[in-house]
Amino acid sequence: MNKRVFAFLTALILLLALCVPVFAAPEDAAFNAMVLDTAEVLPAQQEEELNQRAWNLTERYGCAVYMITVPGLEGMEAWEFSEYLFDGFGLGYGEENSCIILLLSMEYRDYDIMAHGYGNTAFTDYGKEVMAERFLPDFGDDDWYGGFEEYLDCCEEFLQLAEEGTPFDVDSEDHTGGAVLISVAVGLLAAFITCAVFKGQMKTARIQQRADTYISPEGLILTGQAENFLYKSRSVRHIEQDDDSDRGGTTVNRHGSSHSSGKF
Amino acid sequence: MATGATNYQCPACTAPLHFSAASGKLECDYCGGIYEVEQIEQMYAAKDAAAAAAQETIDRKKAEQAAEMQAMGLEWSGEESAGMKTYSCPSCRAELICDATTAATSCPYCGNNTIIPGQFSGGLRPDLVIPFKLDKEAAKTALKNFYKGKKFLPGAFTKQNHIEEIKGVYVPFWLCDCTVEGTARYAAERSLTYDVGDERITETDHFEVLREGWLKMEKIPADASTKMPDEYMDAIEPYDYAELKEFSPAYLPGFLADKYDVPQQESMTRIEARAKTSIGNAFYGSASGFDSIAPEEEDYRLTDPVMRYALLPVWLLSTRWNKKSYLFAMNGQTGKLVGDLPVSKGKYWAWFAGIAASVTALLLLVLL
Repeated sequence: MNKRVFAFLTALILLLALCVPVFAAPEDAAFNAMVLDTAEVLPAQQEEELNQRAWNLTERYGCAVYMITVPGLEGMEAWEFSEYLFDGFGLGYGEENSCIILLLSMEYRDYDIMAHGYGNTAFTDYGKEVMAERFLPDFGDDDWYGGFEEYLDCCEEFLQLAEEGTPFDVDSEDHTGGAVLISVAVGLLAAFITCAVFKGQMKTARIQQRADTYISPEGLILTGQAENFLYKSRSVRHIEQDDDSDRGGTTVNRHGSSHSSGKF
Repeated sequence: MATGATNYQCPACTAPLHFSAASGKLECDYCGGIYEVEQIEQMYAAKDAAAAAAQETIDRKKAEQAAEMQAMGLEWSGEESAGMKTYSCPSCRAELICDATTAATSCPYCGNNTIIPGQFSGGLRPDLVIPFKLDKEAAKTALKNFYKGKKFLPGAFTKQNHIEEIKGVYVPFWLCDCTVEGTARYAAERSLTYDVGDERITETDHFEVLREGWLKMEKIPADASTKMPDEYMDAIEPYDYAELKEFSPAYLPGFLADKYDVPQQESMTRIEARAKTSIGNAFYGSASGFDSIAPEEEDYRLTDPVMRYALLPVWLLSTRWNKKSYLFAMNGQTGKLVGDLPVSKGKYWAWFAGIAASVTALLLLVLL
């Protein structure tokens, strides 16, 4: 498999050599082609526009913003492939190799969002999740340019927030409305139940339905009892994994990167 | 002259006697004499029999007279006079007009306690009685305590309402000994859940649970007076049957008493329903070790019912507030008091708003 990956990376490097951007090579970015469309889903004009915008963000915030499309993952997981590309091309910006990479694989429609360095600060687990929710509908409709535009919008927004010292995370969104609604609903329910109990104390004359008090001391005499096994049934349910993104922050692997993967 | 009514007089001073809930004896308010129930019962057995026989004659004569008067258009119609009886007070000879079921009352003119033995003669004689154990003062205190802790009770209710009437009544009850038997079939399940990888697997064993058996019931009560609301009489249960005694009219002076006017068969319907519910619950409770169990078929029947006629003590208290009457009933033996109280809408909504606001505020503090 490693031979195949090596061949693929070589092909990518050759491809990149052909699409050297029109602007000057940056000093800090190890790699100045921000869009790598090896799956060829973007027209040249759109690719250039996206590349220009991504480069502007890279320069402005000091965090490289990449978009990569590939025909397949060569047997790897999406996140593994992102890391291969990251390592293979020495992607990233500055000493920390800060970056955010959106990888799309066309074969089984896999995607991976990978962050590294300062990217881990700006793009939290929850941020990556929200970002995916925003661009997945466009990619699902094969609107590649629209999806990448949405991705860049998110990158700009999250990088700006990170620069302001408040990276986008679970507590960034305003949950006040939901909390108020839940609190009011629980409050009303608690009041209703308590008042029903108090009101029940006001009416104590009730018909008795049972006569348990009058059962003789010998109690229930069972003259016959059986518990017959009939059949066994089996049900299987998928377990929802605990979502770490609910707790906020960024989960970084041993390579110093963070990922969010799925299907589009 | 013999009359259908009688009263128990003090052997020492001939003043009227009354049964004391506190001492469980007959007491004379005038000379302070205290007598055992059996003692007075023996003394007045002959007098009671004579009164009962006299009442039969009086009833017959009155029926004849009523028929004549009605024919002349001078008497109340049968509908008007139905349910009423007249007696002569054995003390002052005043005419007592009572319900047809009245068995013990007091004369509105001389205040003497009056017993109508004819209501208990022959087949009408109760088998058992539980004497009053709590007196009028205990009933008043119980009512005051009953108001306490009732969050929605209008503030003015306790201040403005007064006890209009308080009366100790021996209420007729049917007590039923019986066996309830039958069969039940339930669908039951027992589940085992375990995880394999990211899958949760639940294996459920399905069972058919069968039960057959019987339950012996002792003295299920059903009030046998149409005047008494069933829900009140049910709610003051249970009585302590250890204090049941053979019936004697000597327990009645000082209290009201009615004879039954709900036939056994009618009461049996209610008793049967309660007994069937109990065996259903007993069968259900015997099927343990399952995660869920649901009845699919139940067939219960009552066998060997033996009804006994008993008088049980009840204090009835009525109050009036805002032009509405409120009735309370207290078990004359155990002191259990029941009744429906008015609900203050203001207090209800104040509590509702207070609880809702407090809980909401607390949750907002936690969530935000």
